[in-house]
Amino acid sequence: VTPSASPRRRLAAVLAGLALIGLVAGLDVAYGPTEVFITIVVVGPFLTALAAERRDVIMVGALAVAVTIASGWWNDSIATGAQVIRIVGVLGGAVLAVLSAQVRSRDLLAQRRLGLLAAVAEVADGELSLRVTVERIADLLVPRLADLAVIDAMQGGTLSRIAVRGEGPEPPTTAIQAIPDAAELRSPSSVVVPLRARGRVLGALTLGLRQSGRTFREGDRAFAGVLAGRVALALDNAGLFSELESMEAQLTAALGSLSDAVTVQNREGRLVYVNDAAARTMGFADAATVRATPPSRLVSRYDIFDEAGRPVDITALPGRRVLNGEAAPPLVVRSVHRGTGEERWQLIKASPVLDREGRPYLAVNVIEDITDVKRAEFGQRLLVEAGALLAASLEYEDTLQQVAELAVPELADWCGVSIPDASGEIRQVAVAHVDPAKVAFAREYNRRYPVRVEDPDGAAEVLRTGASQLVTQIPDELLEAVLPDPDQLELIRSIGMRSVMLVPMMAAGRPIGVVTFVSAESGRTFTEADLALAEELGRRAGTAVANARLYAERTHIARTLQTGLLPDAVPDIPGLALATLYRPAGEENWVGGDFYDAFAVTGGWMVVVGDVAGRGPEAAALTALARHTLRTAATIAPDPLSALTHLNLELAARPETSLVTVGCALVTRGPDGDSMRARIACAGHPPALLVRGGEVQALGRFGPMLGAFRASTWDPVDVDLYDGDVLILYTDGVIDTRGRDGRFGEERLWETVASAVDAGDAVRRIDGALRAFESGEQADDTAILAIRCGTAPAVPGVVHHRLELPGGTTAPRRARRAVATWLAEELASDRLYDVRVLVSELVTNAVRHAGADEGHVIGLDVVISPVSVRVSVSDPGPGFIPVADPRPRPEGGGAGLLLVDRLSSRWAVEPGRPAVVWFELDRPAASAAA
Amino acid sequence: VVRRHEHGTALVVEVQGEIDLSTAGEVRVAADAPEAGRLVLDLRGVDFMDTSGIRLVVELMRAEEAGGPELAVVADHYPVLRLFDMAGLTPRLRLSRSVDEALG
Repeated sequence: VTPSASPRRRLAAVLAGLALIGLVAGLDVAYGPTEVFITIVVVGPFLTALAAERRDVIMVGALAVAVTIASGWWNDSIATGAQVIRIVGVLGGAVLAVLSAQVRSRDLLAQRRLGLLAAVAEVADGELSLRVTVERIADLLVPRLADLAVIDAMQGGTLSRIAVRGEGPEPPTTAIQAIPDAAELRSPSSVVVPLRARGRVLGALTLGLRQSGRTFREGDRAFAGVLAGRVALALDNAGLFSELESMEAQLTAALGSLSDAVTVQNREGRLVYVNDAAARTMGFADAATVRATPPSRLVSRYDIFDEAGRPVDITALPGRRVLNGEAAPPLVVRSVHRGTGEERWQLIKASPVLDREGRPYLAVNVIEDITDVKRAEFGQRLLVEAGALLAASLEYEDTLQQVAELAVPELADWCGVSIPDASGEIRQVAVAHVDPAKVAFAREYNRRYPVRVEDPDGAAEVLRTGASQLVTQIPDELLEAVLPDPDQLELIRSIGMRSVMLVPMMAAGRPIGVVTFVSAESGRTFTEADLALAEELGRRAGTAVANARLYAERTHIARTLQTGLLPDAVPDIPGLALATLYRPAGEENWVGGDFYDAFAVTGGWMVVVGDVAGRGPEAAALTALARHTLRTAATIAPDPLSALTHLNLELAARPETSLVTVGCALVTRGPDGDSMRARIACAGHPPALLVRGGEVQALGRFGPMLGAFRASTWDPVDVDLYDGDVLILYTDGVIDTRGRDGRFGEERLWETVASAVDAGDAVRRIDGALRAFESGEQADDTAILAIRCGTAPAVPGVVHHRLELPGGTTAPRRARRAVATWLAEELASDRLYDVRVLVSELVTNAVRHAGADEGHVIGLDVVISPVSVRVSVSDPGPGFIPVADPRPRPEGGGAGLLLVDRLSSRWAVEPGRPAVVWFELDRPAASAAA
Repeated sequence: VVRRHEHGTALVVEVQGEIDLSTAGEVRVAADAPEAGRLVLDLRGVDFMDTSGIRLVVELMRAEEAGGPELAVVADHYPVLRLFDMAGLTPRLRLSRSVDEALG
């Protein structure tokens, strides 16, 4: 076959040649015989040779020669020598033109053949399905190479015709016995070549020509052989002739009806067999559709994770591993469909099919869907773990954080817990994500865009209605509709939210908070089953929070009341140094009954220590009454007896039994204005202690407690006080303090205070001794009040250090080192160690709970005085203020603050921005005694 | 500094220096040995520890309850022991003075 030129260009070339010959002949006639230029006709065939075929050039060349011969007549040069030379010249030119046309035509042919081979090779590499491959190849062959192309292939041991392409009547396409012959093809010229790939004959390619003028030559047959090799490769790549074709038939029968998904993949990872269950697992209607989809597209439809939530590379799947000759234990994976977000749990088992050399060439995968089992298992585990966490702790903020962390990443990518506070803000108290950076993002987002209880939708709506919200898909339009602020919208978009659940935290049938679950990068969508699990989690968390909050509120009330029941500050009494200590018994105790007071009365000062029987709000009310009554009575008649009598009558008049013990002392200046006297009365109360020159004596006679009997009398004790005398009033909580060796007792108390030289010193000594002695929870509060006669010793210099340091995890260490340096000369090594622990705890809390990360500054203040060391830590965030409750919540920091309480002499939280937490450590009395 | 040694089925995690917010995580990772039969946390080289260390130990105790390795803590100096005391862990903790004792 010679390649046919473009018909239009061919016609133009022929016409141009003819026109030139005609024009030259006309001119030659007009000017002849004087001028003869007929030889120029030789240009005609060359013109034609530029674009026409060889036979066209022959025709035009012959015409040129004929015109040259004919020119003899009008030029009167027949048989002249010049005429002969002209004829020979034109003839020679025409032959050259024909030869050049032939060369051009060969080049074109070679070029076309190469193009065809390249096109077939491209089809072979295209990972196309068999059907498409065959179609493409047929398109390439007809009509470029032949008018008719037939591809017959061996399939399952029989020859079948898989493609026929051509114009006119087509040969039969079914039930053929052999490759077609010329008669069957109704084609005058045909070529049949075998299809060989990888050393095997797969079938035959038949090409036929029907149009007149085209015939196959030897070169065409050779080319058809080369071409057939490529075609065979393309068909082989398309999977037609792999052993699987026959295997599939067997597998289809055996596996097609299985409910478990079964796939078979070849060494290249291509799925060569898929049963219907597998197709459905992959989200396709049937197996055929799967096989028509390129493998790269199949894989990209899913995100695959292992049980720990880590992404699984497809090369790590069992099928790929057995193909690599590795052992592949069954693998549990979670796959998330990228399009729908649907999540499935699967158990994948793979076994290899070995070839003759014993190498794996196929992997058979059995994929069991274990989604339901997995969900049930996860749900149960989540609830059990959450339940244990929630039951274990009353520090609900920490606990909620841990619960939120349980939910990621298995249930959701993000989990947050929000609780409304007193100001109406729904504050996020916990947020979890596997990536700490995203947790920080969530905190920052919530700071910038606070949610309030009056908001129309979202968490506020859940709080109002107590009804969960499930948004399975979040289209961008929805975000735009609910987020009018473009910056906020952009932030939310950046998360790539896919699905959201908001469930109420229910306590006693009432929503007290909201748990938010967000699915984002995992791409999964929440289902009703997920919502049911989330709701159950919300219910359990709600109950736990309610319990914890009840407890926290009680403690808080207790502290508030107690603080109110104690004097704001002990008065500055000239000539007397005064120190007090109040130690609440235990965290779980309500308002303690102990109180102390000190106030000026005519001629002197009244100091009081008391203990109200009972606990709780009633006791608190009684304490307030007792304090108030004693103050009023003592102001009117400055005498302990009068005050006690007055209070006794008040209490006895109350309908309910109201019992109070009181120890009180009236301290007056003697007539000389220098010496002092004390009148001490005890109503059901331990006697006061007087420390003088290292000796201790009890002062006060036991009298009836107040409120027991209307008619009660007390016998006061009068004592002269000298400079340096220390008088101590205390409640029985001191001597009743329980330790491993029983009660603290009076004897220990006496020993403890014997060497006290000052009021503060005495109080610290008792406090220190009790701390060293006590073990376990204490039953009773402790109140101590001490006064020392004579002016207080001058206070030496106070040193103040300040440091601002960046937050972050290294902040505790830096703070510790700074403080240790400042205090190295000031404290004994064991006390210094305590200070280091204390500083470490407070700064750790600032970082962990107040969000003091690298960008924030933590302030550290240390004040060193002869009697104490005070360290304050200020942090940028809400600090220790409980999120659901803006009031101070000392227990908020968990174990850390418990330790602070144990190690420090006293400590407190000063809420605000910045929030300040401080502690003081009293310095041992040794320095004061020296 | 955290070092790991294996003694049969037991893993000994030896910590030196300070345990606080910045280092507790590293120790936690080193002590993650769900397969080990016994986990010995050697704190004798710890010269400072705050409740980050307590948290760590509590987590390991919880892991043990959940089927993880048996936890034994080696500590011989007062600051660390006292912290366990204060946290109320001492009675519930397998405390030893030496690694050999803890492994026994």
